[in-house]
Amino acid sequence: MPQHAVLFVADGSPDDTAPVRALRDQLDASVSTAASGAAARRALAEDLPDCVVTDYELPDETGLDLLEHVRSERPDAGCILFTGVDRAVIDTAAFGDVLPEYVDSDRPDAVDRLVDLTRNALEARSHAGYPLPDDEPGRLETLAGLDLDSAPLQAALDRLTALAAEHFDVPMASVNVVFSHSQECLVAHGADWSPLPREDTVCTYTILDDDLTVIEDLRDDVRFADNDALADMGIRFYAGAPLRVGDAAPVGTLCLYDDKPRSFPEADRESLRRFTAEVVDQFALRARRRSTDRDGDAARTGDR
Amino acid sequence: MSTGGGSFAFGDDLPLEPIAPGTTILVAGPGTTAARELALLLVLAGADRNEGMVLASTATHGRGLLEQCRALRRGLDDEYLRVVDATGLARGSTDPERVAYVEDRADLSGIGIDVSSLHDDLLAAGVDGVRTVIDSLTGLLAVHEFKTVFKFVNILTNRVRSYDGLGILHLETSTLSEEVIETFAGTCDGRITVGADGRSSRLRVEGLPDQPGGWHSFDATTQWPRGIGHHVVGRQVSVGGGEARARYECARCDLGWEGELDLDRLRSTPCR
Repeated sequence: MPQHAVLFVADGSPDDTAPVRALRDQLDASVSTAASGAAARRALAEDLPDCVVTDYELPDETGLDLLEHVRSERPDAGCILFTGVDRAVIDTAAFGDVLPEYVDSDRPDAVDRLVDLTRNALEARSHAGYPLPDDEPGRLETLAGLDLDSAPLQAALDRLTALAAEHFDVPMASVNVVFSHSQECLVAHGADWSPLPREDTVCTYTILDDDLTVIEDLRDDVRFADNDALADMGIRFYAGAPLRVGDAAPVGTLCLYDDKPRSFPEADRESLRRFTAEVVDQFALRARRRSTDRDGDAARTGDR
Repeated sequence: MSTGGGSFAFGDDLPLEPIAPGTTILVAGPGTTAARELALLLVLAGADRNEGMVLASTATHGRGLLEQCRALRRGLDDEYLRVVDATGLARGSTDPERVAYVEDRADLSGIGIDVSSLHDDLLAAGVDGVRTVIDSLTGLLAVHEFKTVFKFVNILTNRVRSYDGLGILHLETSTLSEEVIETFAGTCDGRITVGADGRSSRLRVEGLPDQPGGWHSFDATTQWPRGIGHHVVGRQVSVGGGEARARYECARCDLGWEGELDLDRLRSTPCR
């Protein structure tokens, strides 16, 4: 099964065109096509691709209208404008932060360039608005091996986050996991948060480090000062610890939050490291039990 | 996609060894240092080597930027020099082949498309590689969220890598934390930090192979005084009261002021 999904959008019959054939032949990706903005939006509603390639002139909207919609659904998806329309006709003024890659489809080597830039979007994640850990594939593999739905795990993490909030005297604490495109709260004490795009979370940065990330006032940090998502969550203070399960990069974080700025002295940092070790132990314990259960099931199946 | 170009060299003026194709470098330093001049010089060094040069500017309008480039490198061969003017200060181009105008620096999509388009035009013209500078990331941060500017940088560095180009990103660091600088540096291949040692400039390279270690002086500010219009203009940087100020003075007349270099004023004011 292909590792990635690409949607190619152009008027007419895009399925039988040189760029689509090249993308199918040269990339480890399933490439679907759509002949209008409306058809593309229907496809996006069913399954979000990793990259969208579109002409500028579509029968019912411009390619930039479509890519703006893609960004609203998945901000880190690859967005490529592959068009022969004259640059002067492409009106970018209302789409300043869509940031499409651009390939003039009339150039002799346009198809090769399209393949290269699509590969960048899929493999190097060139449209991510945040840095990735060096071992992102290994990190995601470790995450996939964890039993995140385990009721005993959830109960243990509930207790630990409640204890942490009380110990540090903060109104909110959570254990988060960072997936390929988004971050989700596994448990949260004092909050009920929906998943967020990865580019909107502080934990995206916390999993890059071995040690704690402490930001006493998010409004003083250029990376987060204008972040509406964090403002809506009422977060001013953040202290996060990476959760490293095994040898791969951290799968998530243990976090403390306050709705006002505060300091976080060394004694608190040391306590947060101890809480973090407990959380990591819980993940590892449930992963071992899941593995043991699977081995037992396999053995029983073999006995029959 | 490789364009087949060799390493990007800088001549004897700068204490740097040639840099491998596909490399993007963050050039970081406070506004009172010669970080911006260094970022431009790294790109303008391509003029002697049949290479293309794309300059995207958020603060200096196209014509002014070309003047500054000619002042930085006397006798500059600008046949393959292209400018993306994203200042919003000028409308319409008298030189559409050479200067592309984006009406608002908040239009990062337009800046990206114009940089790509000019870059591809230069390759089609037969240059041996393209050097691109963004001047500056700080100007983009003034109108965009960090995540948007980071995405712009991520796309650009990957494009530079694919096309075996050289990317230079100028970051004015006076008001930025080390975490922010490091985050940008982390998505680049290397970082050049620019400082000042008295009246001379110095640089330190990190993350790039085969480069000299430690701090090294370089000759950007000592290219002052410069002939601009009929004037011979010198620049002095003074520090006091927690602030650094640049002062420009003509050596031949009484014209002088503190603040930014104003090329239009210099060119329109007669010298005795």
